[in-house]
Amino acid sequence: MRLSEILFKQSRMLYFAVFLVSLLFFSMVLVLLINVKQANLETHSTNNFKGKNLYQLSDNLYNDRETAYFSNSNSYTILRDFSNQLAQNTSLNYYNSIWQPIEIADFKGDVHFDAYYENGSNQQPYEVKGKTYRAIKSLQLNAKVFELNHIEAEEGTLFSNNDFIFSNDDSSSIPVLLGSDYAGIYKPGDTIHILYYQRPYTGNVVGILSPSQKIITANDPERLLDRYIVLPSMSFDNHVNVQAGRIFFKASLLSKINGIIITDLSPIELNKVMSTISNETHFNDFDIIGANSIAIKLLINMTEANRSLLLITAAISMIVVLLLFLWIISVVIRSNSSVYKVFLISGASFDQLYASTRNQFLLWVGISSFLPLFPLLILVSNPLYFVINYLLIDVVLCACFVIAIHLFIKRTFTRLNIVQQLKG
Amino acid sequence: MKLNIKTKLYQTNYILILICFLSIVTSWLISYFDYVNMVNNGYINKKSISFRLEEMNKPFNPNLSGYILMQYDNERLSPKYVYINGDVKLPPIIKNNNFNIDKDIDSHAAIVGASASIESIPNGYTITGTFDTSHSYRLSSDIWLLSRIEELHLDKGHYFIFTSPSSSPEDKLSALMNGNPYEVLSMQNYGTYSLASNSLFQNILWALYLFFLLIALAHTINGHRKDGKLITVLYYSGFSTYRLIWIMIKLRLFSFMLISIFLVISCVLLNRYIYSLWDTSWLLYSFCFIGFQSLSIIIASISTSCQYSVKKEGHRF
Repeated sequence: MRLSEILFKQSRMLYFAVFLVSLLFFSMVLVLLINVKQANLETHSTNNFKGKNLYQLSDNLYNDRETAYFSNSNSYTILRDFSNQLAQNTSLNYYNSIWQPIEIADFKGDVHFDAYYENGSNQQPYEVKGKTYRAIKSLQLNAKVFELNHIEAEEGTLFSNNDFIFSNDDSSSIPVLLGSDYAGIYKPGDTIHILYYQRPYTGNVVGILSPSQKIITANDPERLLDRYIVLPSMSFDNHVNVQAGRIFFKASLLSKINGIIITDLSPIELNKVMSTISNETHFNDFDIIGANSIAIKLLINMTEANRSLLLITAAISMIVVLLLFLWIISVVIRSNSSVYKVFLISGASFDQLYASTRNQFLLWVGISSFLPLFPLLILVSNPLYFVINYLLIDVVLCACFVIAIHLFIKRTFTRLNIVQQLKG
Repeated sequence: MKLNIKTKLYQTNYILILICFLSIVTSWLISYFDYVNMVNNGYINKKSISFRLEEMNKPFNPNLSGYILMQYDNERLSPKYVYINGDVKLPPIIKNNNFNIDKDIDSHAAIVGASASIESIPNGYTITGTFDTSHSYRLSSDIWLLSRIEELHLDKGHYFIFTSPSSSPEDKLSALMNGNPYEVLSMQNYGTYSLASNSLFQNILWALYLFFLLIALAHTINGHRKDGKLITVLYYSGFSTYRLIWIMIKLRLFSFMLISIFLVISCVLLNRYIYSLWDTSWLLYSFCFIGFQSLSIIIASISTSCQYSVKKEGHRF
């Protein structure tokens, strides 16, 4: 289109400026889209806990009672069966996150990974068989924790289903996940020598988590995983000989039965379910107490309020930026009015003017709207959702621009009085 | 020679004022988000310093003001002994009866969260307020025992969090410590600070601020370009280049600076009397914007005046 070429040559700088502004505008649209999705993801993960009843399970095996209980030869088997039944019962949603430091040999990280760093009661490293061990912050999580919290790995992978099953054959290696503060110190594929309940293990790093990943726990509504080593809380199936390695199995089983239950069941209904399990497994040395759900409710409120605030501010800022962009388009069209005068005098019609201007704009705006997609495809792992939604928004915005261009040119056209211009 | 060109030049300035206002609002939003995050994190800022004091050789400097110092036991974070000095913004508090911060510090007041365990308040403290927040689980379970800095004693706890609205809290903390050696701990930030959507949105607000800066700059350059012909005519009429520069600056800059400073002053008054934030960093960003625009107007005035007056050979009829 010769009209378009001449139009472009007359105001190259202006169209380049429009291109840059348009690029910035569409990048902002895309990033806002990603932000909205992220905010939705955060509320979605806290919604798993919304409106549910939380109960804490607590065993009664202390001091004398503990000694008396474990003098029975069946005690380990009973505990094992009890914990397996808890995990398998779908109405209970048994959620267990165990805060238990582990000892690591020749640990490469600095002092803020130590188990009691925040409390100040840092323990000195000790030597066993030539290796220096330090107590490091660690969490053991069962599969339900991963299911109900949205946890992402930046490098490597998360645990697989088999990792949560204790295996007697390969019993000296265990997969571990590291929090994001470990990035640069260890990487996926590294091995770490750990003592887990006094049992030596070779920890294989399977993944490093993204920054600021967190889980909801009974004691702390937010437990940030950045400084933690995460181990899977393993379940013992029927073939495992729990009698060998007393401290490890005793501590593991006891910690496994002190989790929280997230359920719709009322206290009476829960009591019924728990008595059934208790009768089947012959274990009743436990209490069900209400967990601190107020703090978790406030956390859910906070996440939702954050999302609302973001959405409102994002919508308002998008409208403002859109209006500014339309104003820029009108400025460009107005500054081209002398070129339009020449075209009109030469015999061009309004439709031709409108078509050539519209095509110019759509060309530059269209190219700049596709450019932000390239970094998206490279950086984001699952971009399909974003691409589709972004293209939809793109089409709507371009339609908006086309209508605006039509109105602006019509206004410029009606303001030009040809006869007056010809008279000079 | 008086010229009646003021009308045309003043019209285009409205857009610049609007963009200036939008950037002030964006700066304020950046600070507002930070304040909301601070409340959600238990009134602990990103710039707060967490430290441990093993022994206190000298008392803290009682003359320093403009900070909140929290002292707690390492076993549990609540209750905290809180020392407030100077005019700092407090978290949202529902006040019982006559709440007066200076009087309450002297009379051992306690401010509690809605779901705090009140039994852990020691004798001698009376509850004078409740934290008014339905989103901050950390503040809701918190207990602040207001005390005077002279009463600080290490058996109340060895752990401290120092928060100050000043631009360098580290210097203020060293001044407060008065020579006592302290060990800085690295602290994690909870609440909305740990939400990725929140930190991403802060970056978007910065991008928006930059966007407004660039649009205003482009508008200034474009506007000055249009004045080129006017400058040429004036130059041929006998005005010197320096006089032209002065006219351009007078007409473009002064009105902008006047109105934008008026905007900033009204925002400051609104901030002080209606809704204030923790610190005044938004004011700094706003002044940066106005300063940058003013500078760009001056440079554009000089360059277009020189370009359109002297031109190629600087001929004058």
